[in-house]
Amino acid sequence: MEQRRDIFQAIADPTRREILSTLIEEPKNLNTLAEQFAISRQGVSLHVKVLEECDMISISKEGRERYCHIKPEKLLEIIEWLEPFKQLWRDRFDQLDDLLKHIK
Amino acid sequence: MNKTTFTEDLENNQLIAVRRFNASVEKVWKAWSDPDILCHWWAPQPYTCKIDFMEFKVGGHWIYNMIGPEGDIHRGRMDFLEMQEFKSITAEDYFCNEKGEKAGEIPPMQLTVTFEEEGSSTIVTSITTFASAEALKQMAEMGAVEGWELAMNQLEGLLN
Repeated sequence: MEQRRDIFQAIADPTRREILSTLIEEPKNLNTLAEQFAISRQGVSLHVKVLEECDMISISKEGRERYCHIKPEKLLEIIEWLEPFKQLWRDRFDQLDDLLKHIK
Repeated sequence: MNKTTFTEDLENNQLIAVRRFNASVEKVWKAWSDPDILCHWWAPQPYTCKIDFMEFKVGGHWIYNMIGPEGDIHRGRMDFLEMQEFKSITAEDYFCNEKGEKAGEIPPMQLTVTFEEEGSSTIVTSITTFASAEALKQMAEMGAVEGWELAMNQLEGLLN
């Protein structure tokens, strides 16, 4: 069975998270990425391939170089997953705020 | 009323919530440590909270029930790992059964709460650390998790 590729698979690995963080700053080619990480170029290539399959990044060709671009809308998707937890803490803290006014 | 601000730290699977309260640190601390006060704000409306057990000290724990309007009960437990009076609480937070044993598919989360006095107000920071990105997804999807579907639908309703 083919493995399902999604954003959570993309961020499940620490190296891939780091690659994404560094791509937030600017698009980078494979060589630049490989220099930044203490793993082989092949290792970086493999992570980049997974990120592309998860639709987290796109790759453009400029001359002989391949540049990796992050898809910011995908990162937003992850942040939206957190919304229910934010609402939980908002509610709790609002209720606590009300209560503190009545505690001696 | 003050606002709660959030930071998502995806590299560390953390959600950080910060809120300023116009009250002394002693008073805010009491609202966390005294079960009679805690039970009044811990569960989001329309849920109510009932505390079965509370031992507020390192090595201690508390067991709480969140009771829905339909009478559905969701039981949670927090084990206190570290504590510094008026400063911080670190705990493991998980779903449990009526015996207080870990239950359900969701891995425990770690919760760290810090308290900082600033003039006459107190800044509370709560850091929830999810076991993994996958656990976060599980928690967020909720629909797959028995009992929590309702709570999450209700929370989503509040957003709209």
